[in-house]
Amino acid sequence: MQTLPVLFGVVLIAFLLSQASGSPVRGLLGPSTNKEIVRKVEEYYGLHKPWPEQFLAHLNKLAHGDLGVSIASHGQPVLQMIIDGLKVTSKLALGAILIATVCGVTSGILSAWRPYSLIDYGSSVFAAIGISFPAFFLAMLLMLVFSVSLRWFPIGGYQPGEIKYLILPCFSLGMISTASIARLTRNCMLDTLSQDYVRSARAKGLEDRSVLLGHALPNALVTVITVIGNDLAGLLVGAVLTETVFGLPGIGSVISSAIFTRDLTVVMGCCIFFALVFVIINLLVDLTYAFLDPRIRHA
Amino acid sequence: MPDSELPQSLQPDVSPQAVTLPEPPSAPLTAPPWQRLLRNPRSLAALALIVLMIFLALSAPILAPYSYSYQERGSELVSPRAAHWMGTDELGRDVFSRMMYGAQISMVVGILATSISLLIGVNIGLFSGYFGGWVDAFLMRLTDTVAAFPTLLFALAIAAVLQSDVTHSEVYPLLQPQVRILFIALGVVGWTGIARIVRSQVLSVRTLDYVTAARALGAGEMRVIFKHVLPNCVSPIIVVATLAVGGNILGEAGLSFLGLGVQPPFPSWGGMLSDARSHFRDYWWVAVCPGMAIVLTVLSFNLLGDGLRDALDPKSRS
Repeated sequence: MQTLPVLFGVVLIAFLLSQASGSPVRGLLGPSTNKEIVRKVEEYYGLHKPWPEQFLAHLNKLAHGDLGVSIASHGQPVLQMIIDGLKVTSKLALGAILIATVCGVTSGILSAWRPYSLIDYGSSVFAAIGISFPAFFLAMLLMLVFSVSLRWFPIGGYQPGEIKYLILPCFSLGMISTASIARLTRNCMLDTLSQDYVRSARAKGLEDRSVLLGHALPNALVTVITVIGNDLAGLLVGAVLTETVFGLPGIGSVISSAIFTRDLTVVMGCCIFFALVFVIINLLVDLTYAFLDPRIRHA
Repeated sequence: MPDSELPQSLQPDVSPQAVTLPEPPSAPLTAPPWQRLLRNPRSLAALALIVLMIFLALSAPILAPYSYSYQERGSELVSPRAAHWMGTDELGRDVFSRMMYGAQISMVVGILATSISLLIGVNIGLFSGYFGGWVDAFLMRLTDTVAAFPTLLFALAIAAVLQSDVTHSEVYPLLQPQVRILFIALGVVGWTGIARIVRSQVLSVRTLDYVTAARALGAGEMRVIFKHVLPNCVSPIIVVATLAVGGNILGEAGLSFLGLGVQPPFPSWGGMLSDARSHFRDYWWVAVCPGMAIVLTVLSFNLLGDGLRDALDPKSRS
């Protein structure tokens, strides 16, 4: 129920922001353009109407999946631009979250298995440095090492269907989340391992592996899933910077060129789209809690 | 079920506090917080590095070997050497000097953006937690709404909107409207975590006896909130603010990397990385030096934040 007001708020804030920026037509055509031409273009796009009327029309359009049109791209629908960009960005974000989850959860389990050991300390140092790294700088470093020096991967660019173009971008994007997922898994696992039922499981003679993977991990996952959900939404946006470094034709390039041409309809469209994705992912995460934890399901 | 409705034990810890370096306690729990902080070698190293960065930023106009815009003809893209500790860029400008000036932007934007986030987040958290009811419901939905926007993209949208009115100016770079836009954009999107932390702290403080006593003695709501409740929420605020400075420095670097930062030739670390994109494959120093400056500074703020949390609330140590 709390999702609807949030969705309405997202749309309202994005609308107010785009209104506050003034007429996009004047910005695009330049200050010296004939006023009559500006007026006609504004009338064509319905930008001459009062704000409340524009907002209602905006809501109506959104309900029909219309995020507006890009004035700089000659009236191309923003939603279509996002969908085209998502073909690359979704692969990048999903690949990154897969790497982050596998590496992060594994590293977290190993750290919790032997807390304060060399593995744990190494993982902690990696996590502390990992969350301090800008994704685009990591992308540049990986490119220097693996593309320029070792020549294992291509230097940027993209060919549909060729996975080698996505490996480095996925790693550079995923490594940042790996750090936070690893530490969170460790902390949750340690918390769970101190519970009475884990002690009972050990007292019954269960092996370390069964206790860790069968008892502690499922309980720790409830919390870890939240972060993975949040990270997935964050990675979609983090991809903007990574795509810029690797020259991938995803949403990042759509947003970058929209900023360059001051095409705010596209920027706001992307903003609303990602906020909706974030809200939906959060909803799915909440539903996953119930699936993973019977205490929540029966609460 | 939303996070806020989960039982306390199941509430996810999605704060940066989750990233804590494990270390057995080294200072007695009874020692004063500043003593515990200074006895932690990591916090001490982080503090020293932050002080050094601030010193470099402040002293750039005096101590920098070259001006940020000085171009040495014939010395384009020279590798690190005695005359240029971190080499030069594609226009023959000294990378080390530009990094010193770039520290000004990072520090100013990081600290001012955090101040704006604190101003908004602390007030919303205080009122939301203290008054409860519809005030809490409204303010928390507002918080959820702003938090639903991806931080960088929202900041980018705000910066893009604000920049539509900006014309290039010749004032000192730190006073450029672009810098103001950067910290405002990052500040107004970064308060949601602070508001939630303050609210949860207020919820536990407002039921304490001394708050009830203050009310019974006739203190007004505002007096109770700002004189009695707020001082007891200061510890988590200090911690989250320190961590937020690091996050805002990363945000500033990201926005500058996308071209929404201070106007050239004045440098920012993100802008220097952006400029380095076409050269770093053959001349690593143009990217690695500003990149490492960002990493070390953000790492220092994160470690200091962790150290402060341990010092202010020793029971929270993992």
